[in-house]
Amino acid sequence: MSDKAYIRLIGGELHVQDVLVEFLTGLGYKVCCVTDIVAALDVAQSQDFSVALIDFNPFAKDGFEAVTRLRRAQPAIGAVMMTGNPTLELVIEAMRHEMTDVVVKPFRLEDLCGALERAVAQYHRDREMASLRKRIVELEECLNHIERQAGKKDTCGTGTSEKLKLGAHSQILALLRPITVSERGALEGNLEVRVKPAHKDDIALHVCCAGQRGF
Amino acid sequence: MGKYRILAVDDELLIRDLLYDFFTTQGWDITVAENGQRAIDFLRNQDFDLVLTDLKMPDIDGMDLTGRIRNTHGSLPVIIMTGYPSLETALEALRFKVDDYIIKPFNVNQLFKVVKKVVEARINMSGSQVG
Repeated sequence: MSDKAYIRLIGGELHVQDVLVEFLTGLGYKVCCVTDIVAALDVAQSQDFSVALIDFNPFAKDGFEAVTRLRRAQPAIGAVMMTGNPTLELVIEAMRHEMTDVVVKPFRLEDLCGALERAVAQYHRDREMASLRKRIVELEECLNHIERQAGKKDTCGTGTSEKLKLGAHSQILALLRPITVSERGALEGNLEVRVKPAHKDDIALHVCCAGQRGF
Repeated sequence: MGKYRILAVDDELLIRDLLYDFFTTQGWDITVAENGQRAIDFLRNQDFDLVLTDLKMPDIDGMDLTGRIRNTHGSLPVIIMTGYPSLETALEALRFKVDDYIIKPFNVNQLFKVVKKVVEARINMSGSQVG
């Protein structure tokens, strides 16, 4: 569990909030409580947090809308619902809103802890995937630039062309180093980036997403 | 954009035929599997945009299949269908990050809307395709 995991506790009875804050802080989480969704959305504009832990009883009508709006501000944020009135329809709706978990009251603190750990792990994975997507876009732009450069006539002799290619190769490798990763768990092997020369005079960049198409 | 590719898994022939005919009519590329193991075999050799699976099947059931998909195919969209809905299975599906939970009997037009929405949302999120 990361000591940087920041949990926003939204709603619920005050005495329950106090217990949860003490418990979660003891586990190393940074916890902040807000009493309602509006306050949570205000803070989300200026602070990044890993998971929103939302008590759905008082906010049953707008809880899902709040999750949607929180995600607009922070797309990777995890969302865990606490509810004392679980229904099949509520859980299905939670699924459609990509909530990470539903914790049914009364719950054991260990169960809540498990739900939060999973939500935090998912948050970190989603952030990393977003970063990888961004890197791929950068690579594509770099490749397009290199192709345009390589397409220019070499009026200075073969030396310039070679320098262009070497420069391009270094550029690609410099961009690729942070992206050649393998992730644990479900994402392992899903992204594989290879650089290989397709032709002795060319530099070809193959970016493969093994398994699922795209992320 | 090419056709969307869907894998439908159900041990009932009637459901498989219904889904195959309907999605084909809609211009989708649909593969049907009669059990979880067959689905796994298809997933090993082909790419899909979404898996639509029955929950209650012999041997490898829909939840087991979903778990395996999460291990091998990451966040590939999965929708579960079931004629035996329960809070427990819905919670389990949520924790496997299933995209929707359809209760049988279902209206096939409504099902199609749900499937299309999930696939298109995922493709929009992925941005440009890389491969």
